[in-house]
Parts: sequence; structure tokens; C-alpha cells
Amino acid sequence: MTFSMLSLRPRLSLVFSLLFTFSLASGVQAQHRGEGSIYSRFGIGELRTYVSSQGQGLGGGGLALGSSNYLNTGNPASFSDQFFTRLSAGMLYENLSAAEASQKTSRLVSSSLNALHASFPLLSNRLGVGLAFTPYSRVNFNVQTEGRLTSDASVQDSASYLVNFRGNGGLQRITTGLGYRLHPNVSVGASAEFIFGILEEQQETRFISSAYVPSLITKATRMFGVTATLGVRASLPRVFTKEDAMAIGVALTLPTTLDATRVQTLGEALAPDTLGGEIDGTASLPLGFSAGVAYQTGSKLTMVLDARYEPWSGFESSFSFPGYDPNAPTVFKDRTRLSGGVEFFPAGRDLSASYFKRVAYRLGVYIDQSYSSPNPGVDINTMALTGGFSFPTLLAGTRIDINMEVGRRGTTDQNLIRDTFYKLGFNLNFGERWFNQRKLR
Amino acid sequence: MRSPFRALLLASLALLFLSACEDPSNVGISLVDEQAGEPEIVSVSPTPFENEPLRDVTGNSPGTHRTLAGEVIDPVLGTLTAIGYLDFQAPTSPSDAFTTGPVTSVRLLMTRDYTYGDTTATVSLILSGMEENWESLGARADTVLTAGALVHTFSVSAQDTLITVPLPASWVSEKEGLLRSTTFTDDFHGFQLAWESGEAVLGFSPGTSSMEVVSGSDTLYFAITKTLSTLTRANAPQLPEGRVLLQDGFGPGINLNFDFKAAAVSDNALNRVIIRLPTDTETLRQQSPEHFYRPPIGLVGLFGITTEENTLAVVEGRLDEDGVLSFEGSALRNVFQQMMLDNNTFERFQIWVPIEDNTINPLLFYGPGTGAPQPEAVLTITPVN
Repeated sequence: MTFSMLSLRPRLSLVFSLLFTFSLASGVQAQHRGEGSIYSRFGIGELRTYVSSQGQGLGGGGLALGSSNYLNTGNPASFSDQFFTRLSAGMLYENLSAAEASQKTSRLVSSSLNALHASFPLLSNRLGVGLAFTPYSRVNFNVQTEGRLTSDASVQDSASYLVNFRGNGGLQRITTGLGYRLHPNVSVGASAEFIFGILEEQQETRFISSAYVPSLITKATRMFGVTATLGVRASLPRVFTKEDAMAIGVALTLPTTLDATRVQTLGEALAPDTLGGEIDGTASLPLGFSAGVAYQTGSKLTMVLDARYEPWSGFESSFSFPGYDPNAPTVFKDRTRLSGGVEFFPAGRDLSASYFKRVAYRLGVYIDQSYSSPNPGVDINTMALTGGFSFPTLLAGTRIDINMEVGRRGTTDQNLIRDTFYKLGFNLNFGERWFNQRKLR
Repeated sequence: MRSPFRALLLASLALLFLSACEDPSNVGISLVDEQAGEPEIVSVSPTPFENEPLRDVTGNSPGTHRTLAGEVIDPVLGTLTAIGYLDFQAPTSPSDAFTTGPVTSVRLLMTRDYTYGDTTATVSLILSGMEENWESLGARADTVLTAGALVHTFSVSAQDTLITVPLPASWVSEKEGLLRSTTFTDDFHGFQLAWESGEAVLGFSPGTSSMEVVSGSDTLYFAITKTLSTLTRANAPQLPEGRVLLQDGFGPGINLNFDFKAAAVSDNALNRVIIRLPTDTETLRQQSPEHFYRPPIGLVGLFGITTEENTLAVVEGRLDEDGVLSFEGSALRNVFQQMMLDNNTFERFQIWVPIEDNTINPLLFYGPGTGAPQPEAVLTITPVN
């Protein structure tokens, strides 16, 4: 096999675009800037769902979708659909407004690396490899309160201070897998996933007067472990008409136990003081079961429905987490996520159609019942509308996806918080045939 | 789209810019568990807070420390006696006229810049020659030196600033050759100033004092190169109960330490620390005869003592207008923070007056349990859960 040298400059500029995006998103250790929902404090953070930029516009689902334009990390069976070598990177911007029953609100924004995908065919449209770096969970919140230190007037003046409660970090997932087309209509796949990350909670007390030194107390929990996902995808052509097709996808992520180390430190700088030493422990991740169905009326319209189930009620850990006490019965709930979406591609198979007919238009909706809640008697549900556009570029196989999401999470009942969020995602999907077998004649 | 790179760059910059605009508040404060409590102020008493026998370093080369001489009966602190030592060096390039001689006149020109005791007293001092070389650098106040023959006796008013002491012609004649020689600095060992009468201890500044030597048609001024003051207390101080004395020169110093474990403040964040040591100014003021003056202490140093008995300066403090000696600073906070985390750099602490100033000034502290304002370390801590 040889590497095709056609159009090197645009290819390299796009590769550099991906690398620039990745570095601008602040690297591997800190995947996000800014703060988000207070609900991300609970459990191991707010669980993130991202299968592909196409799926992001379709309510976050698309398990049954097969595509040569996207790597569908939700179902490794779809890795078999690769014609091109693909590189994909995405960033996500989130604007969140948190409100409580008293109508008081706060506004928080964050940006983060959404995903890095890479895939290439070993056997075109039959055996493919997928690599992905995606967030598994995210902890990012920032709540502030203030107080006043009063004292013996003969000693010190009273001093005002601010206390910031912050959460940072989350778990990341590196996926590597294979997908194989057993039959023209059936694919299977398997992927191994390395899950790792740091969950941090910080309390910083900062005084207005410079006579006082601020204090920063950090509790950091490092976790890592390995799991696997098995997937199957089956497609059925000509279900109702000669043009239509239906596909069903199923994926099972195996439960796993993460090794963890927790340490509490005092102070900032490179060498904070450790309080109480490092503590080792474990935390379990439950299995995840996903199923989806996709229906295409022809080459222009695609509809998807997806469901995901994770039995977090069986979560166990030797550590305590917000909302979880290892010495008490778990109050985590099973997570259920339902989503649906529709994609309209006006050009269908006409590659010479006008530009805006070659743009894909997406609309979706989802509802996600969170596994954790500050109040065990109250479910924290997220409901959102999604949408997106996929723009073709001059480079064949390369598209730019812009996705939007607006939704609501939680409730102001029971002294809880209701989040209203707006998300904007930018994704670059680069694809090209890199490995061509040279023909002598 | 012609240039996806350009679009991606703009989009990334937009995301980063928009990320800077946020307004966190206390919305959701009820949903956080505190890792630490509210800041609070805690007072920790020193244990111990007691005298430490201390002999101050009073000697130095090249003669930058004040020389003390005299004796005073302090109604509170006892009989205090100071003996001073001075040595001189000849100018490096005397003129031919000077080295030819003869030496016709030698005078000590001294500047008095310190008085402890009767400010109206006339103090008689005995000037004796030193026959052997003596070490000054790092020498302590309890050094014992033997003086040679009497040179002169002179009187100094405690109110005079510039003191001129002509040396006897017999001494000048005896030392004439030495005063003109190129080996003067090595062969001449200076003088001792001892008390004869008068109720005061006087201090002479070496920087503005010298020995004037007239030889031939030239006059040269020999600078002071070494100084030392030896101090003795003939009887113990008569202190009110519960008082702890700090006195420069004589000692004692003060030993103190803080047990943060016993005070239940260990493993917390330390935001600020002030060591406050209230002083008893009334006792010294009330028991002062007419015209009796005790100069106030200026800077006081807090020193840390390691397990290897090494001494490190931590911070300096001063008396405030309420008579409280306070120590505060980032170095002190860092040391105390580590102590609270059981990372002790020092085994204990000591307080004494830095050796830069030779005085015999006292401070009287209220000790623990006296019922008066107590010595304490005032800590602003953020308790860690």
C-alpha cells in the first residue's frame, strides 16, 4: 500500500487544524475551561454522551447508523463502514444559567474538547479500525459565598472573605476497536476502552485584605480502569418501499471496577501539603446497554430512535462521593436515556447538487434521567432539543458540523437548582483515501 | 467552504473568548459539602513561655557595635555592670612627617549615644591598657579579659555627647615609638573602660569615635577596629510575680513554643498569625527613681531553634503604642502552617534583641496565668473537615 500524494497542502492544513484545535482546547490534562452545572458535583460527575458529530445533532443517538463520513463510537460494529481514513475533532461551548426557587440565578460558561476520532479501513467497507478520545464524565461547577470574619477588636480588624466551591476534572475515555462486516447486512465489533481521570473538589477562601493568606483545600480522586464494548448492527433493505432501509444496532459496555487514589491537599503551587496521606480504593462502573433503530426513506431522510440503560443503583465504591456514602445503601438510580432525531439531506446521491442542497440538516430530542441526585427523593432529568448542520467542503470526504443544543435540567423544588443550558459544538470531520494499492496497469 | 482551517481558527477563538464571561454566585450553595469550615480566630497560649539564660554577642570587628561601660543599680533588675573594650588601627599610609615624629599628643574622641540609668549622673571610668590580643568577633557578654596597667581616669557627664579624653604625657611618651610605627595595628591591643563611680551605664558609638594622634606636624585619627562589652548582673532581678524578663545584653532571653495538637488546631489552613506578647510597662515606670531612664527596646527578634541547636531568624517585631510586642509576617505564617501540619522545622522558639544594637534595655512580659493580658498566638484558621 502506498500513501497518496495528491493534494498534500490542503490535507496537511487540515491535519494542522485538528492539532491546533486540540492544543487550543488546552491539552490532555485539562479538557475544559470554565464552570457548569452544580449537578456535575454528584457521583463521578455528569455523564457525557457523544457518539459522533452526526449523532450529536440527532439527540445524541444514532447507534444504528452506519456511515462512511463518521466514526460512530457508540457501536463498534459501525467501524466496518470505513472507506476513508478519518480524522475528526470537536469543541463544545456551553452557556448555563442556574436558578433556584428564589429566582436568584447565576451564569456559567465553559468550553471543552468534545472528542477526537480517528479511523481507517483495513479492508475497505469490511474491516475497520476506530480510535477515539472522548469525555466519559465531567465535573465542573463554581459556587461562591461570602462572609465576614469578626474578631476581638483589639487584635485584628474584621475582614471580609469569599469562599469558592469549585469542581474540576472528570473521566476521559480512550477507545480502540475493530468492526467487521460478517455479511453485507450484518456487522459486529468490539472495542477496548481505557477510562481514566481526576475528579477534584476545591474550597478556596480568599480574604479582601492582603494581611490574610488565602487557603485552598483540594480533594482529588484519581481513577483508572479498563472496560470493553461489544456491538452488533444489522440492516434491512427495502422494508416498506424499494428505496427505504432499516437498521438495528445494539451495544453492550461491560461493567468494570476502577482503581482509585484519593488525596487531600492544602495550598497552591507545585508542591501543596498533603493532609492525611494518600488513600487507595475502588469504584465500580455499571454495564451499559444501548439499542437503536434507524430508518431511511431513501437517500434524503433518516430517522433514528435510541435508548440507553445503565444500572447505577448497583454502584459500589470504597470512597464517598457527593451523593454516595459507602457505609449506607446507595441512593444512585439507574440511568435511562431516550433520544430521537431526523436528518434531511436534500441532495441525496446527487454529488453535483448546489451547495446548500449538500448541507445536511438535523433535528433531535432527548431525555436523560440522571443516576445521581442531591435529594434521593427527586429525580434529576435533562430534556433538550438538538439540531445541527453539516457543511461540505472543497475537500471530498471532509465536512464541518455545527451542532446546537438547548435544554433544561433539574428542578427548583426541594431547594434544588434548575439549569437552562445552551450548547454549541464545532466539529471538523476530515476524510480521505490514504492507502491506495498501486495498480501497475 | 474554501478554507476550513480559517473557519476552525475563528470558531476556536470565539469559544475561548466567550468562556471568559461568567458570573458565579451562591446559587446552589446548599448543594455543596464544605471541605472546610468558615474562617475563625483561635488564640493559642505558648507552652512554655519562660526565661532562657542568654549571653548576647556584644563584640564585633570592625568595631560596628556600641561599647558599653558603667554601672547602675536598677531597683527592679539589680546591679548591672558593663566593661567596654576598644582597639584601634593606624591609618594605612601615614605621612613622613607623622612617622618621623615625635608624638606629642594623644586624645580619645568618643561619641556618647546611649545612657541607661541616671541621666544627670557623672560617671567616672578607668581607662586601662590591654597587654594581649583579644578576640571580638562573635564574643559574648560573659567574656572575661584581663586588663593591664592603668592609663587614666576620666569623668563623663551622662548628658555630654562628645567626649574628649587626653591621655597622660607619661603614657604618650611610653608608647611614642609604637604610635608612629607601621606595626601599630598588630602590636597595640587597645583599652579597657571600667566603671569607677556614677549611676549610669554609658554607650559610645564606634563609628564616630577615634583616637587622635599628633606626631610631628601631622595629626592622624586612628579608627576603632574592635569593640566588646562584657556585662554582669550582681544580683537577681526583683520582679513582680508572673513577670518574664527579656533584657538585651545580659539576658535572659525567652523560650517559647506552641502545642497546636493540644490546642486542637492541627491540620487546618492558616490564613494569618500574630504572636502578641503584652508587656508590663507600669512596673518599670513606677519603680524608677527621679531622672532614672531605661531606653525602650526597639526591634526584637523571634528565632527558631532546630533539633541540632541551629538558630535561624524567623521574624522581627516591635512594641506598639499599647505596649504589646507583636510578631507577624509571611515567614512566620509559613513556619506555623508547617507546624500545624506536623512538619516541624524548629524544636522551639526564642526571643531576644538582635545583636546589631548593644544595649541593656529590658522588657517585662506578662507570663501565662497572671490574669493580665496573656501572651498568645492569634491564628486565623480555616478548619479542614
